[in-house]
Amino acid sequence: MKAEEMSGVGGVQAHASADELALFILDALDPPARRHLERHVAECAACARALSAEAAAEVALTAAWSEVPRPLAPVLSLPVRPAAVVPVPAPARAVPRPVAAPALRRSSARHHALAGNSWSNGLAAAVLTVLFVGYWNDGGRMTTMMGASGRSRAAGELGEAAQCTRELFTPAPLLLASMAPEPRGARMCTVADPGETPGGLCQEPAAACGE
Amino acid sequence: MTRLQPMAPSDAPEDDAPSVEAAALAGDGGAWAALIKRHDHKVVVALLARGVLLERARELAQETWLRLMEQQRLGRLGELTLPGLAIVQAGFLAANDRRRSALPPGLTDVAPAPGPSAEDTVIGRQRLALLGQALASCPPGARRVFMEVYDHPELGYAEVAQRVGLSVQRVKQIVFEVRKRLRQALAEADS
Repeated sequence: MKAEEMSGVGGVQAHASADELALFILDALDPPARRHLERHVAECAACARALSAEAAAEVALTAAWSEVPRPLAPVLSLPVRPAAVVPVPAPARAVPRPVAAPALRRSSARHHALAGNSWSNGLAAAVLTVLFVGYWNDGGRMTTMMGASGRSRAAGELGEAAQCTRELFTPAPLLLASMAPEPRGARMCTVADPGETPGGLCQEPAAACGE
Repeated sequence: MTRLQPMAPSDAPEDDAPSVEAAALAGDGGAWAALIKRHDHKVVVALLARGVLLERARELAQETWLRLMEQQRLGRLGELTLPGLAIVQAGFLAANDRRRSALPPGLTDVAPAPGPSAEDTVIGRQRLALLGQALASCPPGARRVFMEVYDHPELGYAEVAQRVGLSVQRVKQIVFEVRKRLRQALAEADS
């Protein structure tokens, strides 16, 4: 039997398409098409099997539906507030409060604050090293060809390149401000601090921070 | 076999599934008619998935509803969770039907499609992830309609259409398109 035809009581009829079968399973066929499909399936074993397979797929999808990972809802863009630095009060008026592991927290904060500078400095040093090694492997020919004035010009260009590299990888001023070492005597706010912004810098006497 | 006669339209609200089922549990014939209209095709599809022929599947679905109504009348039906309860009942009837049949299953029913049966089909984690990706690639509106239909099998297309503010025909079309995309994703993974 050809794929496009079947031998039925009423003659040769086209097989049901996959879309028709799916629409039937979803109960979305219009009545005339549904009746036509039902008559055809009653006489065509191949389409009856295909309909059974489509139904099995639907049952499997329905059974597994609760486990299908759902797309995440779009993330709300929350407004970003700059870190607020609260001025350090006079020690006489400050009320000491217990702080959990203040030294570790300060050390970690400073590490993060300095990480950007260390990184850019390291990158600049790496660029300089590469340039120097290239020059070294060149056997000094570049220097010889350039002469004394060329050497000084090359040194100046190397210095400029290092400066550019440092500027290129230096964090923006706004970021720098937020990464700057916290003022002496200040500490990061926590949720437990009444009236303060969590994550900001709170006023804290130096003595309470273990200094 | 006794066929269910069409009943008068129910006064029960179409968009409030629990109240329709509560009315059916109380013996309201109209509520039963509404529930049958809403869930009968799902019962037929479940029987088709077990390899039952379409005509026989329709008869077994009718018998399923008659049995449920009989159990309700006898006070043996404590709750009515549809379409699950009807599908389970239809499954028992299909199994009994097959056992009672003197002829081998292959002559009365369509042989199950090659591969695992509906009960044995377990969509693995990887395929679930593919389904999730295919679902995520659909437009949000279509996704919402599709999820509404499959998250709430107790609702019919009319109720979902009312919830999402679209026509029934449009809801059916969206469900068809999204489901087609999911099936294509699985087929591509298989190939």
